[in-house]
Amino acid sequence: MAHPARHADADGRRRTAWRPLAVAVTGGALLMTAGFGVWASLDATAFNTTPQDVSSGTLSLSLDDNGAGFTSAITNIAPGDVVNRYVDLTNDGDLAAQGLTLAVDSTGSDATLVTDGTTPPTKALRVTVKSCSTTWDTSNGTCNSSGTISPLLAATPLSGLSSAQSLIAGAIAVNEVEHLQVSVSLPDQNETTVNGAPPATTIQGQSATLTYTFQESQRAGTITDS
Amino acid sequence: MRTSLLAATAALVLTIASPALAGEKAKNSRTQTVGSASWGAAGSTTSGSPAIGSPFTLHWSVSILGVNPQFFNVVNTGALALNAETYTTTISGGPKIVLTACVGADWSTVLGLLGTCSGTQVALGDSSSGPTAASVPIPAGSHVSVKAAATGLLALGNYTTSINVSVSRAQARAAVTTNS
Repeated sequence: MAHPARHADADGRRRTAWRPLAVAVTGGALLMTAGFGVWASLDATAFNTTPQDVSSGTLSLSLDDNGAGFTSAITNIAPGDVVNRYVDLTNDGDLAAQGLTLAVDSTGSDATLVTDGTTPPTKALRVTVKSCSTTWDTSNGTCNSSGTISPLLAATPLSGLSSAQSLIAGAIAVNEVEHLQVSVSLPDQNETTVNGAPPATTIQGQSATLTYTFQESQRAGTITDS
Repeated sequence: MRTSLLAATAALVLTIASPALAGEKAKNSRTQTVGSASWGAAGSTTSGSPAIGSPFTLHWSVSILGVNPQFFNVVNTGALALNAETYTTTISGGPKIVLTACVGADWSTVLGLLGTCSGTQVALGDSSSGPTAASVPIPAGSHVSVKAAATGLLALGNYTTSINVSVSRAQARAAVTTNS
């Protein structure tokens, strides 16, 4: 038979063994609660009472005929002929630009006028581009007011213009206008027509459609401090 | 709060960097059509169409009474004005055939079968001279009137003359530069 006093001592030791743990848990909880309370009380926010306006710039390139321009067809071009047409390119967006290029997509009723099968082509159409610092006199191809004529693209066969070629590598200011003379020429070459019939591979009586694509890139990105 | 701050900063950095990364481009295109010219000439009867690609032929029946001249046209078949042409006249046997152009007018047989020219006569060679380059202007869409005459000793019989007309690029209008 168990002794009653021994039972009482054992129960008392089991109850007192949990007390330090309970105190620690309670204390930790109090500390955590108090700690978070301190952090929350240190938060602060600031904001601009007037919203900041941000707008992006625009990049735009307009193309206008100057005189007959591109919209007027070239007819009956003969070997040695040069046909000068004039267009104005304007960087009319908000952003300055750079790197003006020209590509010409060409299709034709006969490959002879577009590419004559030789490398490099010697008989096919060629395109030349010049700029005038003032304005062109489209009646005679002179640069008005003693302006400066700058060659931008040497005579290039159409096959060499299927990929974009550089016209102006540098910067183009906002609203800057490029006054361009675009020349289409057919290299001098000889063909003899007998009894009204041209030779089998002929440059005569052909047609081609040229699509000129001018392209510019935005100026480089900048970092401004103000 | 910290997460929001980091997100806003990242967005700002990306916004600043985007112009250089995106590389916006602007382009504009126009289409232009180009057609090349043609040049050439061919013989034709005075009332018909030119025989494109074939020599123009004349048939002769030489009798003891002789043979009368024949008249035909050389038509500009191209789009360019011609300054000159090269004529090659051949005949198998028979008489010598002489070609003469009447520039500025047509040969007329009103006053006689030998024909009269109120314009300027220009020799186009003959069947014994081989190719002959003649400076006979023929505007685009126009023609020149030509007389073919049999000369020399006339051997009786039937003969056929072939006349080839060739035009090189150099014989058409010169190259030009146009501005418009």
